[in-house]
Amino acid sequence: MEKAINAAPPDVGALLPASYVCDDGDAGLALAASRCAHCGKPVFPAATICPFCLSTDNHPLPLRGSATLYSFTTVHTGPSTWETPYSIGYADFPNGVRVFAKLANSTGGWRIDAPVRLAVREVAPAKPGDAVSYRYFFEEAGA
Amino acid sequence: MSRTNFRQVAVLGTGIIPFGKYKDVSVPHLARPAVIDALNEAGVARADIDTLYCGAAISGWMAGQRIARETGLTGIPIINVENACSSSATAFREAYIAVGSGLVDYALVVGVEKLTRLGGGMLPLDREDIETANGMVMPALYAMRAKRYLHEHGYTSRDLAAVSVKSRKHGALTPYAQFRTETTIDEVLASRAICDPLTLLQCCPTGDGAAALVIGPADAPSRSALPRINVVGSHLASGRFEAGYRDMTVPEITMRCVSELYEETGVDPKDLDVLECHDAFTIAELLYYEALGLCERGEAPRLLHEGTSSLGGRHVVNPSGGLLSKGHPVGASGAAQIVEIVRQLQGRAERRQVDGAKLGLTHVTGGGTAGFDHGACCIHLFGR
Repeated sequence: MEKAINAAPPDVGALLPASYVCDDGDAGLALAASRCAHCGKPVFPAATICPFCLSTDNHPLPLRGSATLYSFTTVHTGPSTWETPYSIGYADFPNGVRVFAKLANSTGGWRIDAPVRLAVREVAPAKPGDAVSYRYFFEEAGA
Repeated sequence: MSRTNFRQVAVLGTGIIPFGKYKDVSVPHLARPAVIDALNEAGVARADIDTLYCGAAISGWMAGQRIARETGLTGIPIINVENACSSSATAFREAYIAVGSGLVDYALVVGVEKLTRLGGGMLPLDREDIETANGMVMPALYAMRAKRYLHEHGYTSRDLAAVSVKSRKHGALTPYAQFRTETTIDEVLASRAICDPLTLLQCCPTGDGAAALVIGPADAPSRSALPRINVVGSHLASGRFEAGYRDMTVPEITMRCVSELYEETGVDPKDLDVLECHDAFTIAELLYYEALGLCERGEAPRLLHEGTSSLGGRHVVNPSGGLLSKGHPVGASGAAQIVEIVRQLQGRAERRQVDGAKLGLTHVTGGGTAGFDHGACCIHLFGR
């Protein structure tokens, strides 16, 4: 399956190294969370040592697809590193993980308790030889 | 904490500077007038101060030593405390524990912060934090709480704006507040959008400030004509990390901290006459009415509109105008709240006096980091 490169607006989400994502086969790119084999708690970003019980037995847990928007806001005055306005929110995945992310745009019809979809994108290196990096954000479920 | 052999601790002296923008004043010089006032008020000689506790979050290394250099207090043990917005409340608690245990007789507590060093705007958060890296700012965190609260309970942004109106009404009566004029709901809502639904006048201003306290054993010989105010209780909590669902309309760390404190002291929130709470944003004050036990969940706007939390009401919240009118020089805020409550209980709060105030509470929390409600929360009870 072809992966979209830079399909999202260029500044949606922080640029992150490959350790934050995983390739979920045909489903495409996913966020790399983990679930502790000992206490069962999931956590994102993925842990090598469970922050709850300190177990070192943590299984990969790919986060992808639909989540429920818990709350969100549009930031009109923010840090100079980001272009304003931008929207951000928390969404809950069915497996219990809550993820904070930018929303794909600040003009959408975002609603509390509505479904959103996680998008994970490869970003081409700024110059040849640099590593590929990744961004994630939420888009409207129908997008 | 165990109360065995723990002696009663009293606040003997207070000092505070008017909060504002002091770009050309150094951190120790900001703090100096507050420290000198607290020492004079207490009537405790500098030589009798055993230990200095300094709360500051972003004012550089050894703020306590730099202040001591300007106030004739060098050479004694100095403890510098960084605990985000709870820094100087935590410093006060450490001093209280030391005096209560008998290890220290007289302690000076000072909180200071110079936010104008940053050049204005929002507080810098940790760039290593995955949420900060994705655009989280403190007003946005509170805005998301506000949005969810309005959604769940059917209130509007006018209910939020009413908090600022009340705050500024009190701030207009407070000599050391930064904003000293009243405002209206329409003016609050028409101010610049910061993070929807929060507008500029619903966010505490930045600025610089300092406040100081001298504490000692309650049975020490009195060297001051002022009524002695006892520390009735002290509690500190840290945030609990959660990777999943969290109800953002329930300030978990505040509820845990205050319920442990009420249990420890036997105090019933119904008996609180005056409170200073962490109203960094309008929604925060409403959530804290509920978390501190002044009303049930979802009832905070009713309490506000009925006037219960305004001057003249049963539980006056933020008679100083709170952070919304004073500003929030992070490390100074906790000590400033204690100065206000002590002066209220001494009956010397002038035009903003809460009549007959006998029991007061200070509440400060804060610190934005992924997976926490807040990083720290420190609550104190005072009585006469």
